[in-house]
Order: sequence, then structure tokens, then C-alpha cells
Amino acid sequence: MPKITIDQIQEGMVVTENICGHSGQVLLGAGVELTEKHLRVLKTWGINVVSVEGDESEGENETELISLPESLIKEVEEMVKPRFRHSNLDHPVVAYLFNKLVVRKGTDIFLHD
Amino acid sequence: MTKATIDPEAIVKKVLKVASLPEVFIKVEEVLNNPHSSSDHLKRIIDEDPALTARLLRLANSAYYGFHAKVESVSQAITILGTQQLRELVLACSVLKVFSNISDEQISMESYWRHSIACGLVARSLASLRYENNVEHYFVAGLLHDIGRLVLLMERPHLVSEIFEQANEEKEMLFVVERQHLGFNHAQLGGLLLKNWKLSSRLVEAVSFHHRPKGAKNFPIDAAIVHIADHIANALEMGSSGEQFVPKLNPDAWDLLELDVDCLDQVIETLDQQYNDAISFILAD
Repeated sequence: MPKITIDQIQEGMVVTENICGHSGQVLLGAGVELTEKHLRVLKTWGINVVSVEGDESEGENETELISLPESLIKEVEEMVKPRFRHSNLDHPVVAYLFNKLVVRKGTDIFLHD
Repeated sequence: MTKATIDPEAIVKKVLKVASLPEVFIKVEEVLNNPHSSSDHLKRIIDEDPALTARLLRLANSAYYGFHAKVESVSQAITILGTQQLRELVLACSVLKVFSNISDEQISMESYWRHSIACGLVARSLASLRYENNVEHYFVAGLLHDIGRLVLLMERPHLVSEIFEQANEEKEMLFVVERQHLGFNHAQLGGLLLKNWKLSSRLVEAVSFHHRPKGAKNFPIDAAIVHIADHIANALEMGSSGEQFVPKLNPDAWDLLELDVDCLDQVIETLDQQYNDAISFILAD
């Protein structure tokens, strides 16, 4: 079953696994059709990922794993690099943040093109 | 302009005349420092200021806190947050009010507060991951880290323009150019303002040394947390306090936190969840 992030959830989707709070209590049971109120509750509880009914193939879209074209990634990297001219991209934290930004911007461009 | 003509103390002294912390915050401090006073005193003082009470409750009810029951009174907020953390939020609300009238001419104030809030939320999150006490203290330190730039804008707007221009031309970091022009940077100036407001030396060090965490002799963790949080907020382009480049990350500051790079997934997830609510709260009025 595809797992999707909270910002991809829409009303009417059907939950396929119990959603539990931090201390293990069940907030929503499997089979529940999500309403606007449920979405608010999940947000309040800090639930980030849930399993919903759908094509197995949609599962590929998990979080930021939308596969962006290599050329787009290169393009975004070149766009972003000048902002990091004073930073140390060889540090794992900086490299992580750089990649995060590239994926975010890339996804944004990809989805809006 | 030569360095010798600019005395940071003089700038801060001038700002103090127009930007003082509200009476209510000073009273809150007194109550908390008085071993004989109770949380009931605290409640009464805050209740006397309805505008502040409204903001505090709104903040407590924002998704930022994620309480599932509505917080409807100051005493309830005290029960949930504790007096120390409530004090931090009173401070945050107070400072926001002091600097609410700055013009957008040189820096978009919305963008400035976006950057500050992102930094505060990340600082809070890093502190939680380290199991620090009073995580609201870190939120406030992050929120106020660039306050020195607002002080400069208030007192030396033309100089700020010159600094921005030169930084733009030379593709240099603002705090470096500030130093060339003034002999000090916004971090030091911000620290000086907080010191003059008689805020804790812990907060003063966190703000003063956010670009040079090594300099924080007494509270190195605080300075390191704000340094890293500032870096993250900058790198992810969440608002800007005028700076166009991502600063260099100080590897020693990161090592000091003893956190794994993987924890950033969680930090950013939390930031994404809380950011918009915190923004709408702070930019609301």
C-alpha cells in the first residue's frame, strides 16, 4: 500500500493501516475514510506519513522520491550553487541541506511545469 | 566612514530610548526572580494586559504546540508550559511588539521574521533532540538572533544601504562587510541590546556569537544551536534578514551538539509542520 505524507493527503482517501499516536494509541483505524476533521487531528498529533488505498505504483511517489529528470537536477544545482559560495559543501550537514533544497526546488519546478 | 567614529554602545543607547521592553515583561521577570511569589502572581500580571494575554493564548493554541484541548486561560497555559517557558513566550511577544514599526524599505520585514521564526523553530527542535530543558529559551534565542540588524536599520539606515550595496557588489557575507564598515557586526550589536535590556547572559552569548560560536565561553551549546539553526534556515531559503548567501557552517559547533546528520530529517519535518502556523501567528497583527 502506498504511504504518503501529510501534505499529500486528501479528503476521501481510505486509510489502510491503523494510525497511532506517539504513545501507541490508535487515532484512526484502518478502513476509515478521511474527512477534513481527521486531517486536522493528524496534523495536531504530528502524524507525518499514513498508508492509504491506491495503486501500488503511486507508492513510488513517497515523500520526495518523485524521480526528477537528471537534467533538471543539474539545472537546479547550478541555480542554487551561487548562494552556497561562502559555505562548505564538503561538510555532511551542508551537503544534506544543499540536496534537500535542490530536491524541493526541483520538485516544485517539475510539478508546476 | 571610519571605524573609530561608530560606537556600538552609543547606537544601542539611542535605540533604548525608543525601544524598551514593555512594563509587563519586567514585572514578569520580577515575579519569577522572587522566591516568595507564586504562579498566581504571574497569572495576575499577565491578565492585566489583555492584548498580551490574547497573543499568548493564540500562540499556545497554534498548531506549533499541538495541544488537542483548547488553552483558554493564562493559568491553564502556566500549567501546560510552566512558568519559565511562559516567560520566554512573553519575551517573544514583547520583542515582536517593540520592533513592529520598522519600514520595509531595505529589508522586507515579513521576510526578516520568516527567517527569524524558522531559526527559532529549528533551534527549539535541535534543543529538544538534545533533551535540553526549557526549549522555549532556544526558540527565543533563534527568534532574536538577528535583532542587531533591526537596531542598525533604526539608527543607521544609510549605512545599512551602503553595506548591502557593497555585499552585493563583492558577493560577500553581510556580517563581514558590517565589520569592515563598523568594526562590529549585527550579532554583537544584537547581543549588546539584549544585555542592556538586562536579559540573561545565556541569551546574550547565543545571539552575540551566532556567527562565531567559538567565542561563547560560558554557553557554547546555546551559541552552537543558534549558529546551526541560522545555517539551516538560510540554506532552505526560509525568509531572509537581508543576507543573500548561506553562511559557512562551523564544523566544531555541529560536533558539539553530538547529533547525527540523519536527525535533520526530523528537524525539517517539524519545521515544515510548524512554520506556517508560527508565521501566521507572528505576522497576524
